[in-house]
Amino acid sequence: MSEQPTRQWSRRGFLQMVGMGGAAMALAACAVPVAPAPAGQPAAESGQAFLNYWTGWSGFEFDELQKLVDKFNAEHTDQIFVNMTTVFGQYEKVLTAIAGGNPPDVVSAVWLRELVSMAARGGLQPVTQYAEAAAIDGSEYFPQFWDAWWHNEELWGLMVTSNSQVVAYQPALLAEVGADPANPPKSSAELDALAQSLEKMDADGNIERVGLLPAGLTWWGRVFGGSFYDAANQKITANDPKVVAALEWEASFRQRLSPEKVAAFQSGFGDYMSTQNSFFVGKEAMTQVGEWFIQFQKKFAPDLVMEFMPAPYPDGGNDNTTTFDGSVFTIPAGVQAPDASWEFIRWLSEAENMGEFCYNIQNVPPKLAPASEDRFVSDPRFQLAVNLLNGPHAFGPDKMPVNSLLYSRLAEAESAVFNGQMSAQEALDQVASEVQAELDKVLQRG
Amino acid sequence: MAAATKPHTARWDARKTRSLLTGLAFISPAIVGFLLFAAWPILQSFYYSFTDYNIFQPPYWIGLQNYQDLVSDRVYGIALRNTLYMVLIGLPVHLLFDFLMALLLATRIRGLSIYRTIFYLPSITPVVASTIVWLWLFNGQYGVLNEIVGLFGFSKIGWLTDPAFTKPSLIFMGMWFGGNTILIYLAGLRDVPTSLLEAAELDGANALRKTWHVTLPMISPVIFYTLIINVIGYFQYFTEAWVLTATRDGAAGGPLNSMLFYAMYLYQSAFQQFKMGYASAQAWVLFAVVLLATGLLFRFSGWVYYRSEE
Repeated sequence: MSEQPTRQWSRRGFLQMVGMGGAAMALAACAVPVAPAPAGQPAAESGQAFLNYWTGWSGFEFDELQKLVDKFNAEHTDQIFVNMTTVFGQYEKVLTAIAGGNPPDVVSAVWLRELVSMAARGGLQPVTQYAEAAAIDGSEYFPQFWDAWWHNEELWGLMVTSNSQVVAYQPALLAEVGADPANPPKSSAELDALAQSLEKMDADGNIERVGLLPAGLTWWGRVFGGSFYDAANQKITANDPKVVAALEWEASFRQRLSPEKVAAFQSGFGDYMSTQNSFFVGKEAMTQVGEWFIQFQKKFAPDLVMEFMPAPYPDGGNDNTTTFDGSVFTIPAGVQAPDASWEFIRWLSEAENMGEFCYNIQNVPPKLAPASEDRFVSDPRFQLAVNLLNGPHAFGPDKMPVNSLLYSRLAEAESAVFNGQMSAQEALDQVASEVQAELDKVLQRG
Repeated sequence: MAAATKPHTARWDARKTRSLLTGLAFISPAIVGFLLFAAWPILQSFYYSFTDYNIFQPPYWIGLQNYQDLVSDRVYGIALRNTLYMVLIGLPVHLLFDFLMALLLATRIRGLSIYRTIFYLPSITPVVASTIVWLWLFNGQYGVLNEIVGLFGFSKIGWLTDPAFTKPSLIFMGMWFGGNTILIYLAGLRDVPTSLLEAAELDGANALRKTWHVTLPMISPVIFYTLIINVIGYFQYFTEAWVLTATRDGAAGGPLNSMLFYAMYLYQSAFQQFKMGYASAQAWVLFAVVLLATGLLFRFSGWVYYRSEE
């Protein structure tokens, strides 16, 4: 008698418990999530908009940006609180979060080359009206940047930093081989000769130092006067004869030194963001960088003397050529409080704040006024970067939706040609046809 | 009789139903979890494989187009061939190595437990951490492996930079992670009846013949099990190759895509190129291939000897 009620109670009780547990879980799932306060930071006050901001910056650059985020939070007490997280090296998380309906409120882990792709696919909110309301009309920006953020007559975001492409060199090493450090090469033939004279081998024939290992077809292709996309006809032109010539020229450096030896040599490079950087330790006498490298040098090799030159170019190529890409501050689709997100982007874009961050990480501010400040351009290396970006041969990514595929296939083509597996013409014909096929598909399906 | 039986059956049924409900309630978290987080996504991916789906916009039905595209996709072909290389060459090498290691560790020598621990240790180290260490062992200029190769007078090898060496390097590295399989073989070896081994010995069999004629047949079910599990695992080969080859901007695959494996290309298609439909088609083809491979292994499993059949 005593056992039966107990058993019944426990079964019923258990089922009730499961039911209540399930209901509680369902309720919990419906509740508005309260974002946890990150360690070392105050929790958001009630009534404040809490913004999750995902950045692609890491290391000391992240720390510098955090200082600015702290400043923003201090100026917006009781209104907005920004919590910054780095997604360095994992930009695909952004895509997944947006698609999953739980996007960050602001994200700058969006490469400029991906902007059109994400905007065209509905992943971002346009900020055109916000910009109009804030009287941001582009007049303060370098014109090519302002243009790069537009697609389908909408503005999709703003950059607060930008970069140029230059060749860095160590004057001491140039002097060592009898070259004039004050007059670096102007033509690609002169660059070839200088690079060759700077090469050093050990007794076993292994590479000890290279002059330069040119790579990155999106830049050298432009330097040689080529292009990758014909927007008017929606055609991929990666096999443009001038791009082919650029790739052949890049590969000639590896072929001279032997691709296997170059690969072995490069695998011995230390961490890029450290004192072991191959340029700082003298393994590369010249290297392809941007003005941001000034800060790297100050931090990791403060005693090293380093100068910049614009990319030397061949006959028929472009002088003073730079490409630019960069992190675009955007508002993902589906964000709860886009006004607050915009306020953060607008605030960061103020000349003072943009200038502060750019100065601390030595990037070029995309606005003309801060970029012309003495603290930047008193350094001739920085002045060169600003001039390049403001010149006629500053090229942004092409505005088309399959850049990701184009860039990865170009990198593959470089690798195949460097290894002697294919000719530059074959490799780039293949890139053009494969990327074109994908582009046609995307355009056809809208 | 009928009248007497009926209430009894009904009572019994009610109790059975209650007990079934209670049982289901107990396992409901697992059932709900499986349906929501496994079965539903699997079914969805089957649907997506017939669509053009970039996750931002609604899927657009394109029939068999994704499957047709796979046939002509050059890079997909490379990834598939690389994966088959690992399954057909890497896997047998690993299983053989693990079996030989287990045989060694099953011998009665001093300090055996220490050796067993040492060989198992790599299996409890996170794969990413071990792989980073291997990245430096393989280093073309400063790596220990090239130092050893140099001692024998050979020139340096581009373990991870020469496309001809990349996959053999991965297979070589994979031996490091064999602890779990070795452990399973060890357990199997302990189960080989000593009476059979003694009988063979009395008949004059040497160690090799004992292994071939007694040990191998007796642990063949264990070998079959590790074969099936590892075939599935090798078709999904990802982490080591990704860690070794991923670059700062998310590209991966190594020189000439010689370390681009099926799961890596699937990941790139889905999360780097926004092609979820295409990636789903790849996933279903992989499922079919694994199913076929497993089916063939079962079909030709006559060599497996089960003692319970005696």
